[in-house]
Amino acid sequence: MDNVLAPYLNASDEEERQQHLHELLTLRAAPLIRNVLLRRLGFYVSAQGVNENNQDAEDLYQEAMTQVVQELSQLQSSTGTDIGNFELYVSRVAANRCADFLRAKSPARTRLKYSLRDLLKRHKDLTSWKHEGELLCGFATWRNTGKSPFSDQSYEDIEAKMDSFKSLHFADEDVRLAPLSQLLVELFDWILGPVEIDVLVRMVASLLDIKDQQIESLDDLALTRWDRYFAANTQSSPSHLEANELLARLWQAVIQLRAEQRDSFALGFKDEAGQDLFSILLGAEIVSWDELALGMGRSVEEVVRLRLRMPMDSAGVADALESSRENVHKWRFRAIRRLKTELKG
Amino acid sequence: MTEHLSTLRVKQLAVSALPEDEAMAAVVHTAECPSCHERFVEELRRQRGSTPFSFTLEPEFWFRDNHVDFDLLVELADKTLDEEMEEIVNIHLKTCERCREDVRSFLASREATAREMDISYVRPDDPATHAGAAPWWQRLQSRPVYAIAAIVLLAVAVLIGVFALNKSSGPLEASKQDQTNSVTERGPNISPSPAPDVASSPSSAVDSAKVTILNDGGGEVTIEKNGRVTGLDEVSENSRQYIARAALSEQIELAEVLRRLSGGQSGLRGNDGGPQGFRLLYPIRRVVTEDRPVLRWQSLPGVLSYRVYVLDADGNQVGQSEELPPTQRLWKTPRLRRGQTFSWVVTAMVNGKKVVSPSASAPEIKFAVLSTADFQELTRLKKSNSHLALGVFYARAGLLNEAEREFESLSKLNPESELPRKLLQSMRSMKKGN
Repeated sequence: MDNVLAPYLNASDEEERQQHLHELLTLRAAPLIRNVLLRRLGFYVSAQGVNENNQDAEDLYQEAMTQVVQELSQLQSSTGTDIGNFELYVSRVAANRCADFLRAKSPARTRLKYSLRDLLKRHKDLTSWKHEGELLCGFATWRNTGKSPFSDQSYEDIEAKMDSFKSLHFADEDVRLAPLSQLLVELFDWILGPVEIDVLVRMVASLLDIKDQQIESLDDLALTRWDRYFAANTQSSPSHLEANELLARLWQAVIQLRAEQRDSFALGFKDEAGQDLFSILLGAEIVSWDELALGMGRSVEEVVRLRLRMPMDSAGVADALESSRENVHKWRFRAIRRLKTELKG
Repeated sequence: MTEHLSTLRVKQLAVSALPEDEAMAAVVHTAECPSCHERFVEELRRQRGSTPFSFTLEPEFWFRDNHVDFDLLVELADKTLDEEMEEIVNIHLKTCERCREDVRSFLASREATAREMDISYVRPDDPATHAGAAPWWQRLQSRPVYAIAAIVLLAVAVLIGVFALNKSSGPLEASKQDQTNSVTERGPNISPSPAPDVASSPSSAVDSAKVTILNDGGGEVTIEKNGRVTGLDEVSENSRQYIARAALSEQIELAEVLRRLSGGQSGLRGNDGGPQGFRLLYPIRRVVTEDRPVLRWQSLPGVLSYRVYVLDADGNQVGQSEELPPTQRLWKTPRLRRGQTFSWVVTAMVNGKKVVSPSASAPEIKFAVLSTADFQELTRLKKSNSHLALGVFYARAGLLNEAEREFESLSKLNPESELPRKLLQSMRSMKKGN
């Protein structure tokens, strides 16, 4: 058993055990899970497990944490399996969650969803609309009404009904040859009420026999490729001294940028280890909290608050700067170009 | 100066695991306390481990997670992205195979559906009557004035009822008797002439044995031996009589219009020689509800263009498309006269030769447009939400697929009842025969 688990397993009472569990989760498991989500999926989650712009990221983080807690509880009741390396175990849990997510995500269905949303948007007789937090679709005359009870069935039940639909509406023709808009019209006519876009996607995918190929291995390949790319294109320094010099130059160049470029770059920055810029600068003693605040043109309170959410994804930066993601992308793009020139010298 | 930070606090501060106010207090302390600051810095270094500091300014890396979402796809397809944003998107696309495929697939879909945008699919439905529309009591929630009015009316009705009951408790039995008599006097045969000879109104107690009680989309429907149908108050008398006849005979009769749609010879078509043919897909020997149906046909390899012709029952041309490109395999007809039968033909130009579908030796491909009266009746029936009424109507009008769907739904709602199953079976054998 990994020694880091000993205080938790040997706690003398429940209160002490909960204290150690809390420490294991916040100090060891959470940073690892965040890092795996970031590296595997590009999902940013704050240290509190929050990303208001990405529900999937929050869900995956919580699922991984829950699985770790369950395993630790079983260890404590001696029904669990031995954990020789806690950090490795947590990383595997998070990586498996990412793989499950990618499997369920289904690129082919996502593409079909994009096509259907576009068709619904452009065809004058069809439409989609938000209703109670869900994206519904149907005939334009149904706009802003609630979904039909049809949507309440399980996906399996709905898919099972597709054969019946096909025999009723496409008995004498190949449904795959029918125009997509005609297929939607026949489906809406059959359902007789609005449905969630994801239900529509399921139905159309089933009718058109759209399936995904295995994607797990592809994702692993992509990760390895990025690791290689990163290794070939990074600016790194073998010694601690050189690393600090490189970091100090980077910081000096960053604070010379225009405010929005500086923020778009700094708030989203992560190094190869996945650490945010403020933590790296503080850890390397390049800056104090006051200097950090001064360089970022903010108060210490604001800097502390921002660091809790760093590194941020584009949506997070856009929220923090009260701007659009598109603007953040542009500011970041300009910042990178400028920094490249500055650091070359 | 505040108290020194515990080891746990220092660790929590390093991984940003403290709540905002506690993090702030801890930072204020480390700013004043060199020893706690030193412990904080040490903890940051410990967490980082031996990984050397390294970073990249390659835009491919910075934008690797900025996947192309739906809004961006639309902007790309519409060419509304500005130059800088397009450059950023292209940087991402250079390294993201999945997004590249997303863009390719989206643009292909745009192209494939481009010609469908002009096709109109006007539905006969009243927008408020589809099955998904909220029931009236839910709709009242969004109209508080109506809700208050409804409550007031309800209260007045209750008061009047209570008042009337108190005043006339004696003649209650007599009143009941009167009611029965008045209903009986209405008589069974008030339907218009084309309706079947089945009584659909209340009759004497002798004939009122129930044939069946069905759960239907709009509530419970009862069919009695004498042909009386209750529970479908909003359905016309004519339709009720058709329902009664179907229920009593437990079968569906072939719609007359479908006999007229079986093949015949048209004077317009070419001969059977030349390149391989292609199939017409829709509509084929069926009734359509829309008066501007969208005709569809199979593709033909090597085709240069298509042209579509629509003829009336006398062989007169009532519609002709312009020359359609090879990618277009559907065409919306001009407005056709309701209640009439039509045939249609597609000619394709391949290697300078004209290929006609259907070929001369094949039967004509006909369809009929639902009559105005039936179209109006359908609009009314849809409001009833009755699978039984709609099923019988569709069958009578020759819309077999639609009828089958309604009987299927009725069977599901009544798994124990024989009648819906028999109607469905009858419908299916008719479809097979047709």
